[in-house]
Amino acid sequence: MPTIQFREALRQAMWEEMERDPTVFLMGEEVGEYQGAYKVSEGMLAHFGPGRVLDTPISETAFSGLGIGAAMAGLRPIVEFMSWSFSLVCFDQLMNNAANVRYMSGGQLKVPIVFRGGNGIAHQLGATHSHRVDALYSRVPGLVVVAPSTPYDAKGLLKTAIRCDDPVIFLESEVMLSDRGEVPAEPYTLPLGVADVKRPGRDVTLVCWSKMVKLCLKAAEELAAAGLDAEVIDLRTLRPLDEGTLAASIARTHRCVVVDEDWPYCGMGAGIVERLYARVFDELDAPIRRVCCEDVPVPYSHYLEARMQPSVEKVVAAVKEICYV
Amino acid sequence: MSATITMPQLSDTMVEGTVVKWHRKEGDAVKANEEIADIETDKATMPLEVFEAGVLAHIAAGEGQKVKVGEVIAVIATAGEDPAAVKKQAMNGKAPAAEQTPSPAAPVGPPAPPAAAAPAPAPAGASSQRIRISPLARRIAAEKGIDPSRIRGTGPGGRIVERDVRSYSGAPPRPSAGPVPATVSAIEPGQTQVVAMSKMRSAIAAALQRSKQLIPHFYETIDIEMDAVLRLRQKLNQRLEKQGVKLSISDFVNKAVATALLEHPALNARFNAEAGQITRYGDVNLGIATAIPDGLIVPVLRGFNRLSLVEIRQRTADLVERARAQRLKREEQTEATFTVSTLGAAGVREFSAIINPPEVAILAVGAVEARAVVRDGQVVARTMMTVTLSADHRAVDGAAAAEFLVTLKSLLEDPALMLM
Amino acid sequence: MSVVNQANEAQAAVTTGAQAPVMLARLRMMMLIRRFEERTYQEYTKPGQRIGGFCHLYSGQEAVAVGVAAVFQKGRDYLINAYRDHGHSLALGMDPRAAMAELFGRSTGCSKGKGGSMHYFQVEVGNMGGHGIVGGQIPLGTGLAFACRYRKNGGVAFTLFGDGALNQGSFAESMNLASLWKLPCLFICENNGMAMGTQVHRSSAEADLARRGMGFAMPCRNVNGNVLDEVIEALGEACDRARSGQGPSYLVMNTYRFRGHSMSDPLKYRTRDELERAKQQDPIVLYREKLRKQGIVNDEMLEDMEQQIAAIVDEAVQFANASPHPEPQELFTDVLAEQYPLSKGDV
Repeated sequence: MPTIQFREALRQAMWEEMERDPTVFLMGEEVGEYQGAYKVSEGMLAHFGPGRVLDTPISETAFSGLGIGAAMAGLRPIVEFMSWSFSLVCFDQLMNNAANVRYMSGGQLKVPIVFRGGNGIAHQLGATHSHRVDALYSRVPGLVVVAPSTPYDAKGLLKTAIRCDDPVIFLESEVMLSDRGEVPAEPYTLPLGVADVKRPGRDVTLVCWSKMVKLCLKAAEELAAAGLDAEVIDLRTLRPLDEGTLAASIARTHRCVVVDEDWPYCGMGAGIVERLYARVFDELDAPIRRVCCEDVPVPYSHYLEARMQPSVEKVVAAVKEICYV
Repeated sequence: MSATITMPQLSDTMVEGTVVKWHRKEGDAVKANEEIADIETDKATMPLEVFEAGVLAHIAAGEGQKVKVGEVIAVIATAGEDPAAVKKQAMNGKAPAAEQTPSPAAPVGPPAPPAAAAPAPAPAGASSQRIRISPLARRIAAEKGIDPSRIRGTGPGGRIVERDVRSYSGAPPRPSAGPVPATVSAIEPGQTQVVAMSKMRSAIAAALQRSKQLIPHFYETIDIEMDAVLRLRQKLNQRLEKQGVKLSISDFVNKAVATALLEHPALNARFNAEAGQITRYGDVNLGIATAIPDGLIVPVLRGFNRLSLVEIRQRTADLVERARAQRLKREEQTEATFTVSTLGAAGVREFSAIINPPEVAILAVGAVEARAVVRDGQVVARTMMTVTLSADHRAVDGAAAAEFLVTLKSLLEDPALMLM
Repeated sequence: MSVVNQANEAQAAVTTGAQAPVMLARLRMMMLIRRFEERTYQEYTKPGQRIGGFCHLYSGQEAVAVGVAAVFQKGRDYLINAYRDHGHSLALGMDPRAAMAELFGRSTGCSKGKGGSMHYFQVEVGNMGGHGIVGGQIPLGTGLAFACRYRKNGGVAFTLFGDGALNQGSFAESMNLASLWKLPCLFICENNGMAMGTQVHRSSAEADLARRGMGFAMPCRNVNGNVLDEVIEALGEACDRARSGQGPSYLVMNTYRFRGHSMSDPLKYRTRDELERAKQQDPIVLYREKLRKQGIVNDEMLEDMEQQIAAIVDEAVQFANASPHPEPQELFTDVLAEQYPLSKGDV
C-alpha cells in the first residue's frame, strides 16, 4: 500500500471527485497559480483549468458567499481558507447563510459545499493565526464538522464530504500536512459521523481528534509502561458527534479524559464532556477530565506556546489522577 | 359594508392608546390611506390611517380618551351606506359584523419531555451523613448488596471508588498499577482451582511463619468502654466539618496506644534476639496493618506520639492510600516500634494478631459494639470494644503487658487524660 | 384570473415592446403588491399579534419588483434579495395565500412558517430568498451568477439590496469579484433614501449612489425607480450585457418607501411634506395615468381590478388564519439534507 503525505491525500480526494463530478470546483486564495499556499492543490490548475480551479482575491466574505450561492444553485464548491482563522472575517456567511438557508426556506434548498483549511495552533504564528474554530461551528445546527487525523482518514472523509449535500466544515492542520501514512491506491470513502478507535484499551477512554490523536497515542504508550491500558478514540466527525461509540467505550473503561486544543471555558471539549455526562454518568468511577489549552491568547514564544498546549505529560497525569494511582 | 376602526397595536408592549387629536369630524368624507387622527402610544405619537374611502360616520373615542388596543375608535360608512344609520347602529352597541376571525390556534408546544425517572432512594441503612461515592461504585455496591457507609473510600476527599467496593467484597480492583491478582470467583462444584502464590504472598507467608515459630507469643485481652470516645468524636467532628476532616474511632485508639506506649516503653521496643538486645524508643513509630489485594502491608507513621488527632487522621489516610498504591517511601516501611491491627470494620469482636519481628508486641483491635455489661450491680448497655495484645515473652513480661492494657483502657474511657 | 397567471403575463414580451394586456397585468401586479402590504400593516397591528417579529413593507417601491419580474427569465435566472421581499416574491408569482400564511407562521406558508417575513423563498422559480443580514445576500448573488456562467446557460442573477447595504464590506468585495470574473450579476440597489432611520446623506459620503459603484470597472447607472418602463429599460440593457458574457452592472433604482423601515419605525425622521411629495411620485399612480392616457385603462376597469385584488388579499388572510400551525416535529426537519452517519460508498 502506498505511503503518502496528508497534503497529498487531500489532493487526491479533490482530484478524484473533480474528475468524477463536473459540478465540483475549487476556489480560494493561492490555490491555482501559486500551487496552493501549503501545496495541497499542487498541479490542479494545470489539470482542471481556470474554470474549475479559481484564485480569489483576499475577500473571504465575497468568495465564501459566492461559494454558498453557487451551492444553492446546485454546484459543489470546495472553498479553501488559507487558515480557518480567516473564516472569522466571513463568519456571517457560514453561520447565517450556509447553515440556515435550508431551514429558513422550509427545505427548498440544500447547500452542498465544503469549506476546508488549516485549523488550530501551528508553530509560533501568534494569537490571530492560531484559532481553533471547532466549537464555533460545531454548535450550529445545519453544519457538519469533520476533522481527520491521518492521511487515510483525510482522503476518505474529504471524498464523502464533497459528495455530501450538506455544508461541511473540514478542519485540517498545517502541522500535519507532511505527516505520512498508508493510503490505498484504489478509491475508497469513509463515513461521516463515525468515530474510530485508534487504540483499544481497558482502563481509560481518551477522546481526541486532529493533532491530539498522535499525542494521545504517545501518552497511551507511556501509560502502558505504567500498567495502564488506554483506549484512544479519534472522533473524526465533531458534528454530528458519534456519542454511541464513546458511550460504549466508557461503559467498559469507566474513566474518560477528553483531550483537545481549545480554550477551557466553552471550548470544544467542554461541549463533548457535557454530552458524555448526559449519557454515561452511572458508568463513571471518576469525573471526566479534560486536558486542553490554557485560558490565554496564543503567544509567539515557542516555549510559551508549547506550555499553553496539551502535552503527553499532562495527559498521563490526568489519566493517573482518575485511575487513583 | 362599514369599516370599523379599532385601536391598532403599534408596538409589542402597547396595551392602550390615547386619541390625542382628531383631524376630521363626524360627517366628513375621508379617502383611503388618509390620516384622520393622532394616537399616542407608550412609545411615540403615531398617525391613525383609514384604509377605505367613505364618510366618518361615528367617532367612538374623543380626544384625550384612553382606548384599549382592539377597541372601537371610529366607524366609516363606505360607498352606498347611510352614515346616520351606521352611526345609530354603532351607538346602539351593535357593532357591524366583526370579521370572522377564529381564535388564534394555541400554538402546539412540543410534547413535554418524559418525567425524569425518580432517583433511586438511598439504600436502606445508609448513614444520614453524605457519602462520597462514584456513580460506578454506588452501582456495584448496590448490586452486591453492600451498604456504602461501611466502605472506606480511598479516592480524593474520601470518595468511595470502584476498587474500594471491590476490595471490600474481596474482588481485585481495576486498574491496578501492579500485577493483576487472580480473581477469587466461586468454584463450580466438582471443580478445583489452582492459584499460584504471588511474590508478595510468598514473602508474607515466610515472615509470618518465622514469627509464629520463633517468637513465644502470649496474649492478654481487655474490654474497653468507648462511649466517652464516641461522644468526644462526634463533638470534634462537628467542629471539623468545615475543614472536611472526619476523625475515625481508630484515630482515637491509635492516639491512646501511642500515649500508653510512652508510659510503658517496654512494649515500644525492637528486639534483636541474636545480639540479645532490646532497644526501647522515646518516640512511637506506629505500624498500621493495612489489607491490600493479595495480602497485607504495614506502613509506618513515625513520631506518632507527636501528632494531633487531626494530623493522625490526615496522615493515616494518606499513608494507607499510598500503601495500597504501593507508593510508600522507604522510611514509611521500616523501623516500626509497635503495630496496631484492626478488624473492627469487618465486625470481628476479638482476635489475636501475629507479631511483626523485631517488634515485641502487636495490638489486635475488635469491633465497637453495644453490649450488655454490669455496672454498679446493674445490667446496662454500653458501647464496648475488645482488644488483644500479643507480646513476645522473651522481651515482655505478663505484668508489664497488663499494665499497658490498663493504661490504654483508662485513656480511652476518659479521653481527656490524653490531653496531658 | 389567478395571481400566478397574472404574474406570468406581467413578464411577457419585454424587449419587443409591451402590449396592452401585458401592461395591464403589470399595473395589476403593482396594485396587488400595494394592497397586500397595506393589509399586512393592518393585520400586524391587530392585537393578539398573528404576525410577529420584523416586517418590512414595500409600499411605494412596486415598480422595481414588477420591473425585475418583467425581464426575469424563469428556468435560468435567479433573484436574491434583502428582507423587504414580499413585493418581489409576489411579482415572480408567489401565491398571496402562501405569502400571507408565512407571515402568520403557518405550515402552509411559502417557507413552511420557518422563515417569516424576511425569508420568503420560492426556489422552483429561482427566487432564492429574502435575507436578514444587511448585505449578507450580495455575495450569494455572485454565487448564483457564477453558477449560471459555469453552466453557460445565459442566466443572470438579480442581486437586490438597499441603500444601507452599500456601506457593508460585502458590497465592495462582491462588486470587485463579480467584475473580476465577469459574472452575470445585476447589482440592483433599491435606494429608498433611508437606511432604517438614517437618510442617505448621513451615511454615504458620496451622495450620488451610482458613483459608489465606480472603481469596480462596470457600468453604473441611476434609474428613476418610480417609473416602471424606465426600470424595465435599464434592467433590459444590463441583462443583455450580462447574458452575452460582458459581466455585471450596477443599477441604483431611486424610489421611496411610504411606510417606515419596519413596523416598529415611528417615522420621526421624515416630514409630512416629504411624504406628500413622495406620494406625487407613487409608481402606481404614474403608471396608471400613463395607461389611462393611452386608453388602456379607465375608472371602471380600475374599480374592477381593485375589487378583484381586494378579494384576493381577503382570501389570502382568511386562508392564512384558517391554516394550521406547524406540527411540533417540524421543528427538527429541514435542518440537514442528509441522514447521519453518512456513507457515500459507491466509488
